[in-house]
Amino acid sequence: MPTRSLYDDLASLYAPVAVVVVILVFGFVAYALARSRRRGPADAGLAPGEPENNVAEGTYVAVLGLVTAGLVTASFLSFDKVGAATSRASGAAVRVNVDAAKWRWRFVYPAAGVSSVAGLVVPADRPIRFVARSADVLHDFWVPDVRFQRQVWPDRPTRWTLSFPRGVHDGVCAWFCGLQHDQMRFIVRAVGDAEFRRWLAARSGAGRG
Amino acid sequence: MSATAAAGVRAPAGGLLALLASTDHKSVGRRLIGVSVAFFLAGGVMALLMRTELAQPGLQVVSTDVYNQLFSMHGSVMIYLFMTPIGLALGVYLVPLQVGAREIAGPRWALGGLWLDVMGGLIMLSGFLTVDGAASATWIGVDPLSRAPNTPSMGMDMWVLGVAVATLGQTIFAACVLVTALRRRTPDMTLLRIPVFAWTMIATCLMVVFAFPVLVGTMVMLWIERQFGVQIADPVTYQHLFWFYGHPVVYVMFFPFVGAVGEVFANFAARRFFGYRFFVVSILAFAGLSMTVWGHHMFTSGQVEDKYFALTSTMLVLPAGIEYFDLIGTLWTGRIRWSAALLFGLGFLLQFLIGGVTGIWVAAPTIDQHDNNSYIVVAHFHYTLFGGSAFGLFAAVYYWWPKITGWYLGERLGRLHFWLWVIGFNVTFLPMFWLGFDGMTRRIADYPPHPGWATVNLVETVGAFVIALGMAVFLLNLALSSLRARAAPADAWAGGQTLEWASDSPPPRHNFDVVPPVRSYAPLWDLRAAAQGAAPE
Amino acid sequence: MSALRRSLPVAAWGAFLLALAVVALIFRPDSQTVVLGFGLAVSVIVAGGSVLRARRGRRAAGDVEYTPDLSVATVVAAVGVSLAIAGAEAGTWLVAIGLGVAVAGVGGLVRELRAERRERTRVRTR
Repeated sequence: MPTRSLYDDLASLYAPVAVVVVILVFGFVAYALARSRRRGPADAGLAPGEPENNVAEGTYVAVLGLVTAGLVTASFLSFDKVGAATSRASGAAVRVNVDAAKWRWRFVYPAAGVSSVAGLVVPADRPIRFVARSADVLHDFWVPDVRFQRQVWPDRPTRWTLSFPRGVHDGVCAWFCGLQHDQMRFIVRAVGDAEFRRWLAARSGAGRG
Repeated sequence: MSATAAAGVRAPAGGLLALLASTDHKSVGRRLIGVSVAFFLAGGVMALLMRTELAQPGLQVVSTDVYNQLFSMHGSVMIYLFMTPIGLALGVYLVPLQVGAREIAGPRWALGGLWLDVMGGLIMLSGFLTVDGAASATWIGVDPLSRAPNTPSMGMDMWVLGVAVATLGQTIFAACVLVTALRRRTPDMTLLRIPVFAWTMIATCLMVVFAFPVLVGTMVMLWIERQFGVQIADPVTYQHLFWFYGHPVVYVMFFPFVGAVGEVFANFAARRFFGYRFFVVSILAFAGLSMTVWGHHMFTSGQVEDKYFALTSTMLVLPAGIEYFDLIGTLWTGRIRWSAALLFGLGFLLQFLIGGVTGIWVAAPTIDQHDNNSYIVVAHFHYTLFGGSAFGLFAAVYYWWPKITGWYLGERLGRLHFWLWVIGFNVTFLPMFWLGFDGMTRRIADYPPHPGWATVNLVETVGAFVIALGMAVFLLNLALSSLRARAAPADAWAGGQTLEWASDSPPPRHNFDVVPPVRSYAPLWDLRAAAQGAAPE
Repeated sequence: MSALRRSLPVAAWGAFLLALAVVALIFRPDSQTVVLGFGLAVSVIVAGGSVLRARRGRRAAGDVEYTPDLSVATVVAAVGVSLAIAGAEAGTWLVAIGLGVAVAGVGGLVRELRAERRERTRVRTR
C-alpha cells in the first residue's frame, strides 16, 4: 500500500478524535464559566462544591485508558503496514542509491550506471528501493506528496522502499544541514514504464550526468 | 491576616550589594525572573527578525548564515535561558512560602546557581560578538553538524560551554527547591497537604535533577569532540543522549504553569482545587512518563524501536486528561471573578490543549514520518510553549505580582495584553499547521513560491508583531503601575488559600513569624471556613 | 516525619520508572534505550534510598537562622568558575583569571561558613 494512503487512513481516525476532544474541552470550559457567572453577588461566602469526585474521575480515567488503547492499537497496526511496505527489499522495479551531501542530492541508478543531481525519475506506481548515505552531516529525504521522510546518515546506510503516483513531486531536505539547507531540494518525476526506460537509456548513452 | 510580628524581624540588606549577593530566596527568585525576562526579550527580537525575513520569499533582511544563527539562538535562548529558568524561579520564590519554610534549603547554592545561569547565558550569547557569529547548529547542537569540521565557529564553542554552565546552575537551584519541598515543610504539612503548585514544582525538579546532568555531560562530550577531533559517541547516540534531556525539559517548561494556573483557578473561582489526589498521582506519572518518551524525536531516524516510544508518548493522554478534568472541575460550580490572571489561565488551558492534541497526533510514527521537522511541529511546540506555558507564566505573573512586589499591576492594561496576545499568537501559529502539511520544512531562511505560502507567511509575520505589541503593553503596564504603586495587603486577592497569602506583601526576610496551622492543601481556606462556622470540607 | 514517608514520592517514582524500563524490553529496544531507561530508574531508586538513610535535618521549627543576608563569596566563586570555563575557549589568560577568582570565592566561603559555625556554637552555649 502506498505510504500516502496509510497516512491518510490513520489520520482519518486521529483527526476526528482530536476535533471531538477539542470541542468537548472548549464546551465544558465555556459551560463552567457561563453557569458560574449566573450566580449573583448575593452568594457571599464560600462556594459549595465537592473538592473531589473519585467515582466520576475514576470512570473518566477508564474511558481515557480505552481511548489511549485504541489510539495505540491503531498506531501500531498502521506502523506495521508502513514497515511492511517500506522495508520490502525484493521485487523492486528500480534500485536508487541516494548520495546526500552539503547541499545537493545525487541519485545513482547502479544497474544502468546513471546518476542525476536533484532530479529523481522513477516509473510511477512501482516500488523503488532506496539505499541512502550521507557524505557529511545528517540530512533527511522528504517527499511531502507521499507522506514519507527518512534521515540519511553519514556512518551507516538507510534503506527504504517507496512508490510514487504519476506526476511531479517536490522533495526537500528535512534535517538542518548547514548554510544552504534551504536550497537542498529535489524533484521527483514519476512517469510511465516505457518513458522511464527511454530516459534511462538516453542518460546512460549520454554518459554520467 | 498577617503572620508577621513587628518585633524581632531583621531588615534585609539593600542596595547594589543585595542585588548581586542576597541569599534571600525571594531575592534570588526575583532576580532570576528578571534575568529570564531580559533573555525572553532578546529571543523575541530574534523571532521578529526571523519573521520579517520570512514574510516574503527571497532574502530581504538577513543573510542565510545570519538567519541560521537567529533560529538556533532563538530556540536556545527561549528554552535554556527563558522558559526553563523562569518556571524554576517561581519555585525558588514560592515553594518555601507555600510549605511554611523560613528559608530555601541551601540558600547559597541557589544564589550560586543563579549566577551560573546568568553567566552561562552571557557565554552563549557572546557568540554574536565573534567574527563568525553565534552558534548555528540549532538548539540541539545536531550531530555531526555540531562537530568542529562542520561548524568551526567560536560562537558554536561558546554555545556548548554556555549551555553546560547554565544547565548546571539550573540543576542546582532545582535541587534546592526539591529539598525544600520534601524536607523543610512546616511540621503539620504532610505530603497530601502540599499545595498544588508546590507539587508541580516537586515533579518539575525531579525531572531536572535526573535529566539535566545528562545534558551537561553531553555538552562536555561535545566539547571534547570539537577540541580534539575525536568521536566519543556516534550521531545516533548523540540524539539519544540529547533527547533524554530534550524531552523532560519541555515538561520542566510546562509543569510549573499547570500548578500556577491551578492556584489561579481555585482563587478566582472561590473554591478549593478539584481532584487533588488524582492530580498529585497524575503529575508524578506525567513526569515519569516524560522521561521515557524521548525516542519520539527520532521516529524518522530509522534507528530506534519506534513502538515503545509511540506507546509511552500516547500514554501521556492519561495524566494530561486528568489534569484537564481537575482544572475544569476547579472552575465548575465556582463563583468566577474575572481578572487578567484568570484570562491568561484560560488562554493557557485552551491553547495548550491544541498543542497537546497535536503532540499525540505526531506521537504516531506513521503520522510523524510526514509531519516531522515541518511547520506542523513548529506550530505544535509553539502552542504548548507559548500558547500554553507563556500564557500560564503571565497568569502566574499577574496573580503573584502583588505578593512579590507589594503593589498591583493594572487590570485594564493586563486584559489588553491578554487579548493582543490571543490574537497575535493564533494569527502567527495556527496557519503553520497548514503550511507544514503542505510541505514547508522548518529551519529555512527562504522558501519556494508555492501557492499560498507567501501570503500565509506574511499574515504570520503580522501576528508576530501583534505579539510584540502585547509585550510592549505589558512593559508599559509595569512602568505605569510601579508609579501608581497601589498597595496590596497580605491576602492580595481576598481569597488566597495557600500559606504565601498569610505573609505580608512582600513577605519579610524570614517569610513568617508564625506559620498558620495546616489541615489540608488549602490551609487558609480551612481557617476561613472554621471562622465562618461552616464545616471544613 | 519518618524517613520512610519522606522518601515515598521519590521511591514510588523510581518504581514507576523501573516498570517503564522493563516494558521497553518487550519491544526489542536498542542498547541506548535500555541503558538510559534502566540507568534512570536505578539512579532514582538509589537517590530515594539515600534520602531514606540521611540524617534528620538539623533545622527544627524553632531554630534561629544563621545564613547571612549576603554571600558575596558565593557570587565570586560562581562567576570565577564560569570565567574559567569560558576561558577554555577564550584562552588560558581567562582560565587563569577565572581560577584565581574562584579560589578567592571559595576562600571567602570557608570564612563565611566558619563564622556561621562559631555563631551557632556561641548561641548554643549561651
